[in-house]
Amino acid sequence: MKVSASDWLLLSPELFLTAAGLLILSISAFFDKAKEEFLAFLTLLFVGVAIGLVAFLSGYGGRGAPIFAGMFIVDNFAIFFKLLMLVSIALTVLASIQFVGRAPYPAGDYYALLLFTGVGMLFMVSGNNLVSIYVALELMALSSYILAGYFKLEIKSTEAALKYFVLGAFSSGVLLYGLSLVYGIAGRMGLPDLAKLFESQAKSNLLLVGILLILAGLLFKIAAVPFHVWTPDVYEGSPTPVTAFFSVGPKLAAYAILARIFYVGFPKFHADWGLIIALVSAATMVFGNVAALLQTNVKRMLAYSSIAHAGYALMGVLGFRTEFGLWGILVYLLAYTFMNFGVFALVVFLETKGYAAESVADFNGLARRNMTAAVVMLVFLLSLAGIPPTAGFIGKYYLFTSAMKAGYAWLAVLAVLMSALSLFYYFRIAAAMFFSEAEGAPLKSSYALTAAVLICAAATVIVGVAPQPFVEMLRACVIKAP
Amino acid sequence: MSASDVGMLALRVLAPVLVILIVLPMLQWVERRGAGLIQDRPGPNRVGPFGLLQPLADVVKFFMKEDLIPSHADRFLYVLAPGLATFAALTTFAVIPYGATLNIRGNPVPLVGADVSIGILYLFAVTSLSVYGIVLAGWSSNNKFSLIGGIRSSAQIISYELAMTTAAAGVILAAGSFRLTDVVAMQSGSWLSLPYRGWTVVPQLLGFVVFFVSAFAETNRLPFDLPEAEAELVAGYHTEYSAMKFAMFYMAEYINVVVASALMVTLYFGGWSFPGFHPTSLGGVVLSVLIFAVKTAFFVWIFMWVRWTLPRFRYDQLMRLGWKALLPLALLNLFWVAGLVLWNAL
Amino acid sequence: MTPRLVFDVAAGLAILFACVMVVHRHPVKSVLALVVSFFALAVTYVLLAAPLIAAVQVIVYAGAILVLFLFVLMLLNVPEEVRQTPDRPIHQALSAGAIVAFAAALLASLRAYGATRAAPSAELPPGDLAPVARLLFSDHFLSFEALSILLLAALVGSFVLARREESP
Repeated sequence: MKVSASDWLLLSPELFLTAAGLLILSISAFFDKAKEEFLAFLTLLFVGVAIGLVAFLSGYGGRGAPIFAGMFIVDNFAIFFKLLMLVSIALTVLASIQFVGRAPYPAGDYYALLLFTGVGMLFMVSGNNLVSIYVALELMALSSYILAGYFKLEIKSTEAALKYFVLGAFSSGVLLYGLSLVYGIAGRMGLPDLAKLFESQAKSNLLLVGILLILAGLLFKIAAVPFHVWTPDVYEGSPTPVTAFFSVGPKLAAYAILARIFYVGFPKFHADWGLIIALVSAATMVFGNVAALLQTNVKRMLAYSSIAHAGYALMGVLGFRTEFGLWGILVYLLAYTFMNFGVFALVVFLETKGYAAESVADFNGLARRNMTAAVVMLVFLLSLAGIPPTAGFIGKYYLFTSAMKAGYAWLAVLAVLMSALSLFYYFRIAAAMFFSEAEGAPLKSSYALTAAVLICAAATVIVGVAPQPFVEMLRACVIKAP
Repeated sequence: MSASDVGMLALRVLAPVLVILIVLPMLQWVERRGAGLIQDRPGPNRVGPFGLLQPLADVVKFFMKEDLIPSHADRFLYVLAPGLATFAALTTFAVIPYGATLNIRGNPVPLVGADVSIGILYLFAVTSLSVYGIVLAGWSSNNKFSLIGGIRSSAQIISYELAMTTAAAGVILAAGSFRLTDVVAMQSGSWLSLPYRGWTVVPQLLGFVVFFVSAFAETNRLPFDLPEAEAELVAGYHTEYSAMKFAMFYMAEYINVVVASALMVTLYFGGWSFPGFHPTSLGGVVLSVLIFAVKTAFFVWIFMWVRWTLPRFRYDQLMRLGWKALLPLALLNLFWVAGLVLWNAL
Repeated sequence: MTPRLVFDVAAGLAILFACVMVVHRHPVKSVLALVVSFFALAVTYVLLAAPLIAAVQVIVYAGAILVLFLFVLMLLNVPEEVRQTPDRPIHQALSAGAIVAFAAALLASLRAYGATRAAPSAELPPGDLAPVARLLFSDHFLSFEALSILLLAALVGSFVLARREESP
């Protein structure tokens, strides 16, 4: 195997993030609780540099070809996801500073683990081989189990970590079993090699079982029905900034790798996996929206709402070999990352003020206590519901079009109906904010959290109002189906 | 495979085991007489000349004693445990080469039970299983002292196994093979050449020291015999055992001592080889087996010597030594060996 | 005894004791059943010409991880599991049905697949030390390094979760 300097350059964001994590880990011992904010800003700086590196790679000539013996690939698709995931990590750090700062746990390990999760995610979306994908997925998953249980004196956090870990380990086992079946049949692990081999081979049921198990393992990470049961408990119990992160970061990685494995590795069987994904997508959006309707706990409601959104997003994978391809899901995920993170960041905001956003009633009269927060929340809720002119609308528009073009018109119709249904529960919060009596004093946010929320809001609005440049840019990021 | 081949194989595998089983009672005598020597008292001297028949008397005694199974014990595991301990101890010897290659009618017959490519890994695999005997004995006895002994033993063996394997990794690195015959072959060359082909102990003294100390912990011998520390735990994991079941634990301990000694000889002291000695004839091969036996006996004696010389460690000291001293030293040794291999000095 | 017979016996034992592990109510017995299962699995690896994997299986799983399991179980002195609420028969029937269905589907597709294919793929790497090591440190070195970060994260995680904190 030959490795050139250019290969190392393409790997540099991952290497840099690893080094940053190790550095944070080793210097955190020298910071006591009062000075830990410095670590957060250092983490932010490192993530910023990593974003810069990825941005540099987006214009780098050497990208696009598999490197490191075909293990690793940096194409536009990977670069888009890497940028988005790094931004989600940066936002998580911003949302965490005050939240973790007030808790009696040292923050150094928290930020280091966040960075390690990031390494796993970046590595994962560049995975071009089932082994490297699996290892990266485990790195991401293991670090996130720990983050879920970081507030270990809170029993709910521990419960979240345990449930996430047990179910996550089980789903990893399912995934691994699928991988082993595929490997047993093919004797190779590289995604393009698999596609090439299967092109000349007859379809066997054993292979389909393997593919199904791989799909099941990945759907767990996405929290699609019927692999969603962990989501409400984990989202409710985890420290809220971590919940915000879970609802975007690891999911982005899972969508990306789902698309890559099936588009690059198993294009021949697209009729089979396409149908299954369509059915899962339908079940997920129906279940997520109906369950969210019945919730009074905001974190759980948003968890079910995330499940519903996973159902929408899966539609974007269906456009195999159509002119749309993965375009829809890319546009949608761009919107989803900011709006969903923003909603959770506002829950963090309410919680940091000793005012746990447990029930919808906690949002009562937010407009009178902090007008900006209420307005921004409204923007996010509108976007989640898919009302123009927000990013959520653009995302859903592209998703639904992509499903139509792929011949899944029934699914698109169902999605539109479900989006309408979702208005009910999103507007419960909106109504509580604007039309209920305020309880308590006016609220002020910390600078970091304000920054995070405003970044999300700005992105949601800008992508909603002027989508053209972004959408055009994403067109170049899709994986071309062979 | 002809009948004579099968017979040869059986002989190769069983010979060392039989020898150990025969020598075992003698070790008991050596240990007790040695203790007498060190503590300036006679030791057993009643049965036979110099008490030489004492082991025989002990064996008879073990057979005659009543075999008790406590009513609250988990019967199945209680009975299984001593067998497991002895079995694991006995099977370790299968891959240790105990002599030079014999030439029978043109066919080379290496004097080793099974010359497998994963030799040393097999050894570590089986020794890592030996902990089950002790742990299960402790747990199935349903007795506080036994349980504490079992827990201590598992913690201790896991901790020291790490240092031990890391130290042994240095030897593997130098030999470039897990095969123990290769490890011996590597050490039977010239001490003055470059790359160095003498006994490993010279370039890897640090690794040997770590291995040596860990071996005491792995075999639960003083100064690391905390699983059975009689001053605090009555007799630890085998408190409830009597008669032959107790004897089996006793045997397992001595077999483990012999195996650990043989392993140290193989890894660090050239196995059956000796500088300037290259056996070709039958006599040479017999001599090589003797050399191996003498070297092993020397280390067995050191085990006993240490037992009657050093006091017992405290448990926290034991753990600190294992994790904070031996493991880093073993890693240091590994880096040192890697450097030597890199510069072609090994 | 032919290798094939040994393989079948070992594989059967592995499955049998895996089932015992799941069904047994006593955690310590479950761990022991798993040890036997892993050991039997190691035997099948040897017969599949992968002695290295077999040795690693015994050293890492049977010899280290399960000893730790046992250690923790003994330290906590976990008693035999007592069900607070008995399993509903419908649940038991459903899960048993699901298991049987999955096993049947897998077996059927395995048999169908085996019929279409004469010999196993020749490209499978041999399970001995040198080829594995070569592969690990050349083609797969990225994954190997990622695994080291994974282990570090696990280490940090266990430290974080086990560290003693003063209650707020």
